[in-house]
Amino acid sequence: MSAQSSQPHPDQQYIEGLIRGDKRTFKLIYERYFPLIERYVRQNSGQRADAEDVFYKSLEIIYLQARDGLVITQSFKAYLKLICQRRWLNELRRSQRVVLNLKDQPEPYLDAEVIAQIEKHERKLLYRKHFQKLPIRCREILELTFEGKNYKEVAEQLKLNYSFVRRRGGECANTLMKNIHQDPLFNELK
Amino acid sequence: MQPEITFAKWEEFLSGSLEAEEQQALENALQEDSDLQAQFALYQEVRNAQKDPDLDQFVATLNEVRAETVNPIRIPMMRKIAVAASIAAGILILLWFTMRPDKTVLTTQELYAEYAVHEINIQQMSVGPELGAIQNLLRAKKYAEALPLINSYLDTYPDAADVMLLRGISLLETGQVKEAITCFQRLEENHPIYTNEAKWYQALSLLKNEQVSAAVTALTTIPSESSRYQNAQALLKKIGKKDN
Repeated sequence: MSAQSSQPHPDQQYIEGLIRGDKRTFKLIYERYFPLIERYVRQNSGQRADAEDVFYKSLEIIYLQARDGLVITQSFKAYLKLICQRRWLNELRRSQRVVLNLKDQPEPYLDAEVIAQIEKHERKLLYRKHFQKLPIRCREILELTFEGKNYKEVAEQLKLNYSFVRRRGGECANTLMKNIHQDPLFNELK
Repeated sequence: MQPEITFAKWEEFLSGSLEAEEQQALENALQEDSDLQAQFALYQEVRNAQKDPDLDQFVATLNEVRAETVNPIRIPMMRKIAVAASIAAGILILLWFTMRPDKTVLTTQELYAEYAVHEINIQQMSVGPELGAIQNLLRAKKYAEALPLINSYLDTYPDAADVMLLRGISLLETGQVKEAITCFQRLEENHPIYTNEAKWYQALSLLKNEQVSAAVTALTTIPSESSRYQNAQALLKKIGKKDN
């Protein structure tokens, strides 16, 4: 898909709009293509809420790909559908839901390089999801340590006791890793 | 092969908080042990995944769109009638207000005061103590006290667009109108998501500075899909009324 040698499809403008963070592009994509994704998910054992999750998470993936230089050579609709289908089929496999007509669905085709790139971005989103689930105090401590501050500096900045920060920081970091390791998606993406 | 090293230990390793001997031992082991290298790579991947302000901004915009596009809730028939009746009553009240002779033409400064209602809402993923203090001061309208904190925050995080907007508002409310306009112009140029908010605030700044025709020009550049469009149109109408 990131075929640098091929001419970009005119729909590359959607990709550029996503990179710019242009809200109008977001709304246009939603209005034009969400009904298609919703129909697909509903036809395959899902609800509207599932379709929304798939749709928005797929847009995050496409945004991350876009930052890596994604150039689409087919319509945006076709590419978005591929990414959404892949995500939903994986979700169905993971949750082992009954899918009546899944066997009639062709596996969405993406080349190995693109799949590797998507999985890299999925891992990133997974780490961020688990980080967001941590209590706010944990996030504060870890955010500062991720910036390169040691626990002493973190304690000073947050006006907390050093031994508390060291103990809590350790607990938070280990909780984060434990939750990531326990996520079934993490083992699939490894 | 080394036993699994906890994430917390990596934190201490990288920040140099370990005892010198332990630090050196881990550095040596890291050069030789491929399992350890894989553990360290995972640790770094998790760590780096959190530091992505552009992605934070993207997700925030996506969430805004998501909130704006939720399905309308189905209302039962009786409630529909009640809703229709209240709407009709609202329209009648509105008509009465708009048809009666207008005795209230506001001055430019009164117009500014009416429309300069600031939403103080810092959208960072986690509002830390620094941003929390800024937010509290601004909500208490203590703009002069908030400004040094905002400036110091922007020295560290120059790309924090929401804080940049708050800087502009604080400058505006402390009478530093020219600096405020420059701040909003930078916001408009560098942060597309804030383009229309920056335009709106430039118009308010111009209004406060009694540059009414420039304010009108700025207001007319706010597009219809912007959440500020209704405000801009209402303000334009009132400015027009004032000038007649």
